[in-house]
Amino acid sequence: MLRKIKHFKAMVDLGQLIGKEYGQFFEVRDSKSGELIEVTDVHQLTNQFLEDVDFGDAEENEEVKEIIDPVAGRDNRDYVDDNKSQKLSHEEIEALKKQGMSGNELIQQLVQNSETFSKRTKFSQEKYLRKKKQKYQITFQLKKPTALELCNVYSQTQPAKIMGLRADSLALLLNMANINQESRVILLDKTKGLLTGALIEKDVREILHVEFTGHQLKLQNEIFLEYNYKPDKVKRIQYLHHTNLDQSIVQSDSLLNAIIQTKTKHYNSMIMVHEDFNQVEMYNHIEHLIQPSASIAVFSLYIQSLAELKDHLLTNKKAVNIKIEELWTREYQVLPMRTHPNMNMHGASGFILSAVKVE
Amino acid sequence: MVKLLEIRDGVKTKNNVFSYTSDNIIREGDTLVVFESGDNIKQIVMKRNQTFQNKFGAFPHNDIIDKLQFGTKMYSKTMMGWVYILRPNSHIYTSSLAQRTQILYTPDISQVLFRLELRPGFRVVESGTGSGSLSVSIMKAIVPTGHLFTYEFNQVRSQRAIEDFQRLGFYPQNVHVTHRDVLNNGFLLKDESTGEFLVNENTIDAIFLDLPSPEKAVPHAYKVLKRGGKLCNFSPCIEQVQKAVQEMARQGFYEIKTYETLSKDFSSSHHNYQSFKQQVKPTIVTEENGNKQQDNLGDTNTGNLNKRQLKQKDKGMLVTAPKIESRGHTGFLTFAIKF
Ligand SMILES: C[S@@+](CC[C@H](N)C(=O)[O-])C[C@H]1O[C@@H](n2cnc3c(N)ncnc32)[C@H](O)[C@@H]1O
Repeated sequence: MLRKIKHFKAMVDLGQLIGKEYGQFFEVRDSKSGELIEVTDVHQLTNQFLEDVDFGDAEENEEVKEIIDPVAGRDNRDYVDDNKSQKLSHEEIEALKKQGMSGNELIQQLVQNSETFSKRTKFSQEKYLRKKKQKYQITFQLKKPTALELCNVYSQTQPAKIMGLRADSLALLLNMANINQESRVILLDKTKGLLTGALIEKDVREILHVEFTGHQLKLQNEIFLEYNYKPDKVKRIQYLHHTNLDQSIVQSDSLLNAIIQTKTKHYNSMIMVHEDFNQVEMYNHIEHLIQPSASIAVFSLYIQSLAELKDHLLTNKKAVNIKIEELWTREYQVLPMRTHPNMNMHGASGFILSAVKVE
Repeated sequence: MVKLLEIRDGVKTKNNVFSYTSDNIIREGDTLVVFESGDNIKQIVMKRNQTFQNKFGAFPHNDIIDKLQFGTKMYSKTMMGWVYILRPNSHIYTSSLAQRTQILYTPDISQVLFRLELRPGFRVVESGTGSGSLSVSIMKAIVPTGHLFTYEFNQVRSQRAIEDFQRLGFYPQNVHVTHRDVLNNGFLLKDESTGEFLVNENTIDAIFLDLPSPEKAVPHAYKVLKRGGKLCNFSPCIEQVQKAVQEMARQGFYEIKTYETLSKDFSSSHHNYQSFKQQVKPTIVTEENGNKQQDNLGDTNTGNLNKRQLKQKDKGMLVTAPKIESRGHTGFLTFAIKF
């Protein structure tokens, strides 16, 4: 399907991307035609992709010296941010943009009209160019829709859609459920398919998705569709409404039918990310299908519901090694003499209960 | 029974410690976990005519092999007490392995597996092997078609790792353990008998580093990684991180991101918040006002509750609190992608 998307200030014809590899970077050469060129040199990337690190010796970095050597009068006390070194005025730059000058040409103009550019170190020049590129040029990357990427996108834009599941918590959830290629997973999931997709990515053998709400599958699977899986992978997922666990309704899949009819303890992983109903009740409804020694993992934004579930498992001796934990993840800015955790962080990791089922 | 064993033997090389069996029965040679309590977990290997001993008495392997299922309770011969026998999952494996070095624990391991986006079929490089804590989790994620190439310059540790991986059913089909100093010799690896490259330039999907001076291993890592392949470095000290990040940028990695992940464990219990009003109540009730007013004086009305609910109420409020003992630091995880 050929489609045009508006990317920042340019209209890009997506047809140009067909046949390209995931992971490739593109620059919009001309914002009017939306023509793309591939970025072939890593140092041509803009700041958003590249760590702002000195490639030379840390000692030669002027900026570092400024910070560690304030007594020598090289700190910022006399610095005035009036951009005098640039001969082009703001109005002139805007006019050039209006004439349809491409980002690349504009940056060249800026360099030619900068009094200080030639006096900068090589690193500093590269840094200057990257900054200008960030401002006047559009660079983007073609990414494969993976669980990690989708989780990051939704965490930042619509966390409620994925039940507040953060990437680090999703990582722990999958590991605590001991997910691997041989997993048979029973899933109670309201993340609109983010989780189902993450399991397919790990190539699990089977997924039984037990539905508790009456919503249309389509609505519930909105994110799953974004993974673009081939039909043979999707076949591993079975959807079943919880009422069918009690009734002997004939299923199209005879194997699943047999499991349900004979109440076989078939599944060796259980994952729950579901806040609509009482979690103890939901667990009790499906536990007869879980193998002893199976790994159980439940995510919730609320510790109280997990504490109830833990209490239930513990007092009824249904599981061992029960643990409720919360993650604390911080991203760091790593720069010479300027390394520290990022100022803003996502503060709500949610909680994870993990356990091993016993009889 | 016989048929099941045949099937297992037929695919013997593919079975590992995390494998699924529909009968869930413990077999000879299986590694299982003996769970006494949350802080007493042991791994044992099932061998006929052997016996596991603990404070409760004897647990003969012969009473387990081909008889019991994973995830069940077993009483000692003397009936003095019981243990649970479990199939290891990777979390339990990591918390009960023989530590020969500092190891990676589950919270960090989870981040490594997920952010490196490991999948079945991946070819992964790791150094140093250490106690194999991470190695086993990596193998869990990439079997049956994937392969781990792990490098360790301590001869004894690399030998022990081979023994462990063999016992767990990963060696030799899913892992190569190489005794080598990678800082000096890099990751290129040839099959000794055929002379063919096992690890060649631009062929590796993901690489993990956990060793001193990681910056010296970064150029070697760049060489063997595929375009778009991911690198992860684990370092306890921020100075190591700075040097490693600088080298990553210099080599041509992008999206270099550094994280610190800690896990906080919570305990839960029932806490009884009594009403101070109820406590003074009896004196008032018995001496002056009589029985009828009793309920009105207390804050809560217990009249309509059934027996079970009353018992629940006695237990008090379900409360949670962070555990006092907790890890303050493990290390920094830096991820980057080869351009
Ligand atoms: C902290 S341990 C790794 C622990 C491992 N990640 C785990 O989870 O069990 C570091 C290991 O790297 C090994 N090592 C250090 N420098 C090395 C080098 N230059 N080449 C190969 N191995 C090295 C050490 O012998 C040690 O066993």
